[in-house]
Amino acid sequence: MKWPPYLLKIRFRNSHHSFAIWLPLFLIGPIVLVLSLAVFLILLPFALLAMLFTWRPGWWRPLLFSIPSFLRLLCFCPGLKVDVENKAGHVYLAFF
Amino acid sequence: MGENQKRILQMLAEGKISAEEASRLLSLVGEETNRGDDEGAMKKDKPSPKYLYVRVEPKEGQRHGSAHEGFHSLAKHGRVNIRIPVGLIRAGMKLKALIPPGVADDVNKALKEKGMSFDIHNLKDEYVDELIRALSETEINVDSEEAEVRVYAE
Repeated sequence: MKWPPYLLKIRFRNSHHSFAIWLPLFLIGPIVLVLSLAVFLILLPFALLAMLFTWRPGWWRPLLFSIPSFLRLLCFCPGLKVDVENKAGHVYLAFF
Repeated sequence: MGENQKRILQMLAEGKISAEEASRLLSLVGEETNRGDDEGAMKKDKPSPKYLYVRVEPKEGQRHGSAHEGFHSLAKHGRVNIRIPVGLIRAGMKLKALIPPGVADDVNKALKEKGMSFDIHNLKDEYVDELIRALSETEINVDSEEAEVRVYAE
């Protein structure tokens, strides 16, 4: 079974700023999930109203499945590493 | 019996080749068939790649500055090191199912404008699997005066 990433390492450096951070996604993830659920429940009536007025045929599928699909995508992120450096700076991003 | 063997026997029956020649040709065809089977088995046994790597390394002469300056200042080409899990590519490809019909047509039109005559509706899961299997045998190496570019899967 695939699990979402538990750590995210970010390193950023340019001529003015520089920082490196380890984000414990296993701690942040549940908090973000609960907050998103709360925001979703609050915004649901407005979203339904907006959907009624802006409905276009064929759009129900992306609206319905986009969130689970992006969560699934997130589960395949462990192992992803982006390390780009040029004269303007350095960006490093790694999911564990 | 394969098509080639039948053709050889046909030629023998018609008297176009001698029995000795037919025997030699049949043994050659047999060897080729066995080799093909072995290659097929090797392909099946080969594990599919786990990561796709994209690496751009500037040549030594293109690097200026030193590490204690904080970061390398790279002249024209930056250094790129990207590792993408193949599962992420596979999952990303599946997102095409979420593209609304009108948008898919726009994507096709944009691809065509860029010279790629490709219909995104035709992108099927089995093609993606085949593409990913083929990645294990693909390696792109570009060695220019300024940088070395490598795209490969492992």
